Amino acid sequence: MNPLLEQFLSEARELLQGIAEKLLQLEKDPDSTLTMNELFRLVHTLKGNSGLFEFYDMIRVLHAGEDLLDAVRDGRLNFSQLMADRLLDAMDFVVLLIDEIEANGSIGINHGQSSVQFADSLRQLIGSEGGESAETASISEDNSSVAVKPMIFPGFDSLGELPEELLMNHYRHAVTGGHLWLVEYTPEEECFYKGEDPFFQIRQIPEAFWQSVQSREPWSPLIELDAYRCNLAFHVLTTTTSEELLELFRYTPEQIRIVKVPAMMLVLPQGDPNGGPVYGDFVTDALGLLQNGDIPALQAIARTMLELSSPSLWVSSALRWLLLLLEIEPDNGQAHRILVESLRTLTPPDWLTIYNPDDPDPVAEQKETTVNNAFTESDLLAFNDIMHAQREILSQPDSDAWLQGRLSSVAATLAAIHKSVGRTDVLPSLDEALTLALQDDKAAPLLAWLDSLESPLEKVVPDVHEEIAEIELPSSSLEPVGNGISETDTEVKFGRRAEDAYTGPKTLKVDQVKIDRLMGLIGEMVVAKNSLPYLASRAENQYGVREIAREIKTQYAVINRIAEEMQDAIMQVRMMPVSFIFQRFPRLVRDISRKLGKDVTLILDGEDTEADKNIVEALADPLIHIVRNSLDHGIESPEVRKAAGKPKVGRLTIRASQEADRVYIEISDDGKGINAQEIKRKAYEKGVIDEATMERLSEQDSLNLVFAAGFSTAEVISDLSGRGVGMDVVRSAIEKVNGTINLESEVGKGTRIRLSLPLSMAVTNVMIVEFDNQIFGVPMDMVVETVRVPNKTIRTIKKHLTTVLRGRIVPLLALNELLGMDTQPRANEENEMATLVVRINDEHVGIMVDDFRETVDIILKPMAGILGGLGGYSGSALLGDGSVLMVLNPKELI
Amino acid sequence: MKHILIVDDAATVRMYHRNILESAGYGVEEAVNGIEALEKALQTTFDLYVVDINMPKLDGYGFLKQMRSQEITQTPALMVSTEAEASDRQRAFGAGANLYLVKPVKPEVLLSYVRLLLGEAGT
Repeated sequence: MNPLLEQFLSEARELLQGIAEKLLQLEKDPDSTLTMNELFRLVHTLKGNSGLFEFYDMIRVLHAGEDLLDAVRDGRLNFSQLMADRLLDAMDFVVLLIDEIEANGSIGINHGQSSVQFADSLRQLIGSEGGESAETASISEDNSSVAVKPMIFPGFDSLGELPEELLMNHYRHAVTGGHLWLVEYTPEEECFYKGEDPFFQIRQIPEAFWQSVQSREPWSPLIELDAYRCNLAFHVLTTTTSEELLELFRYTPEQIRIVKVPAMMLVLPQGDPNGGPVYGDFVTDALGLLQNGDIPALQAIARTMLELSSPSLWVSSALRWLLLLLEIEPDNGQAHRILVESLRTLTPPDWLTIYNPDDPDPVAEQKETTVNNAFTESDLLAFNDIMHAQREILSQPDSDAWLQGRLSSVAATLAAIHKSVGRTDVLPSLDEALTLALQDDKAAPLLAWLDSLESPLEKVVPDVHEEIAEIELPSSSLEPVGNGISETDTEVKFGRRAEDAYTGPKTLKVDQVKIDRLMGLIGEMVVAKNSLPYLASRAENQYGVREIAREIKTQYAVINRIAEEMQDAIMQVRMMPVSFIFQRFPRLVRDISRKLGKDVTLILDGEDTEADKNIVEALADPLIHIVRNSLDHGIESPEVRKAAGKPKVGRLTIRASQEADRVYIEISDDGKGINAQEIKRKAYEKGVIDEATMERLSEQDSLNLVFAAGFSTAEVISDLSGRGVGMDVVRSAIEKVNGTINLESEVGKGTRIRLSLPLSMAVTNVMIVEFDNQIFGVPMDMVVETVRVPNKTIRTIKKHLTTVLRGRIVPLLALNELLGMDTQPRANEENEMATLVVRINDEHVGIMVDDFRETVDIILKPMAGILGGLGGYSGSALLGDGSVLMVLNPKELI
Repeated sequence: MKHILIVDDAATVRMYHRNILESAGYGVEEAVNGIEALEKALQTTFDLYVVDINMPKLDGYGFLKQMRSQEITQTPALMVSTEAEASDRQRAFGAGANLYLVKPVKPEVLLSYVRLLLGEAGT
């Protein structure tokens, strides 16, 4: 992905987060102008940023949001709950688009409708302020501030073959508020098999006046051609409404793209390009008149010119268009200029220079190659623009306190641009004018200087050769004008140039992938380092060189220390505060409690508690689930609470803290609590437990039943907290990252759920066991003890092997049964079985193996690819001697 | 090398402008609001300022007014904004901008203005 887009995405997420926060703040304090201004600025910035990428579906919504907030800022509207709701919804839509851009690099084609809907829903709130209905507002928007980029598509040239009259009518229609849509229809390749007829479909488009059919990809040679695969792309221009189009293509919205086309694209003069009078003078005159804004005079000379020309000529057609443009869009000076220029070259006007300078302009490119360093037409336009701007600035009232500065800056600007086009001869008089202006505190002398320049166009079109000479021999007599422009000035202040003052940023944003890579590398390093002790023992035992062995060991100690520190440092980088997931809760709690008609205060605590990124991320979904459960089933409605003598507003607390190497997250509410008896009864009804168990279960054990698979206590399944999948999903998600979950509840008082998680999951301590000449790892945190069980104490109870350990019956399982291997575990000389006792859900289970080995720290890599489906293994790791260790997951195995 | 100060609170826009200007061989400095821009302008001489309007702390108008009235520099300033309204343009000119462009400015367009404002010749 390109860095600019990455920057956009990361800033967009920050801005969206900020927008959500500000909206929530405003709900509490709707009158805060400060917050309102902040909010406006955030939306405005995001809109501006999206503009760089032409994400129109996003811009449309943000623009509507900005207008809405602007209305509030100006006091035309009051901030309301409904407004906050709609803005939040609209921002969610923007987040969706951001996600899509992040995944695909662009926005899919099927968001147009939702985008319009969201924009409409916001504009409705502004109401009739703008005098426009919401529908027209959101669509005509595209025309003005959000310029839609016209596409260059194959076959557009044939548009010029339509009768001039027809084009003119449609142009008139489009400029005066009508619609002009380009429909790009790309039927599915398999469409012929699905009963679709693209040709029929395209002819159904109402008010279409131009169609084109093209192949999407070059046709393959006839012998390979699959005639049943649709390789066609259709383009249609129509003046119908967008609703009609969306309705027509409602079953295949993903196959069409509807783009508003600037009316200008229809301005295509046609006719015989040969013959007629010479137009050079006319073009010069016309441009001069345009520069001075003298439209009536221009109309007059164009009419005269038209009378002199044969109507069938290309030139006449262009003149007719010019007259129409002058009549309908008298303010569109740039368009007039382009049309007049096209008269000079007798080539079709290149409207893309207005709308789409991004695309290479073949004419300009050619110029660049033939005349090096020439002054291009776009530079000419820029020059005229700047000249015009300076005139405007000088026409501002002379009363401002900073008038002198403004005058100097105008003079500096004028000097720069004239120098740029090689007109250093006018600079001395400019300097005089500035001195006069500064003396009198008036802009007039500078304005007079501007007027004193001869016809602006003749003035600025420089002779190419003269200009090049100018570049080669920069005029040494050039007077310094203004501040900070002239060469001498630059020399003097060289010591303070910008690059010297550069100070680097204090924080770095680093791509997650890079950190993961570091993590992987340190993992490999830890493994590589572990090979040194092997080497040492080989040096000693195999080659008999003790000294080398000792030296290797010393060196190993050093490398080991550095590696550990490095690992620690990288862990630190990976640490992130839980606020990363906490920050979404205010919004979540607000939305859910509103939906449920409950009043809830959310209290967040310990947000700066840090844990490994993976842990924090793994926490997000379970936490949301728990919070939803709490709001849905825990906290009562205000009436019920009042009746129970509780405060009307419920209270939900999420607290994070760190103790030793574990992070604790506690979610507590003051709701109705969980009735253990009811849980027990339900579990029995659902067949989760049998009658005997029901009798035996303690209060706490009954509560823990909510974590059992397939258990859901909700009487009415809501769309908020699950249907059938309940707390068991939460539990397994937490356990996946080696966490535990604990639930306490008191009927009528509330419920408390406590999650305990490791700070980091990067390094795992495993015990290595041997079986059938292979080795396997078992995570140490599951191992309770290792014992050698004498064969004679092993009994069979109900077909299961068991033994008694410290007065407790422990079921025994042989590893070969669990892994589906044939070999039986071997007993040692004393006829004892090596048994690894592991704890699974508070039950102890013995696993019989051949022998135990040492424990090691490893970097566990989850199984990937085909092996990912192997539930019995939690992953693999490399050992110091280079062999692969498969780490078992006893929970899944048993 | 000519030096240009980009003043904008949006990092993306700063990066966009920086890419364009650096690709044309200019030195670029950034400021995230008017205050920071003033500080930088006091320390260093720039050859051109590219200024956004809506920024926290001190907006583009405020920055330009300060700059022009305190005689910090009378170097040309180019204002970029998302607003295409005539009133915004007049306000920018009143504050001391020398040119007003509507965002997003296409790279070629921006560069042709910048070249002119820096007094450089040709394409």
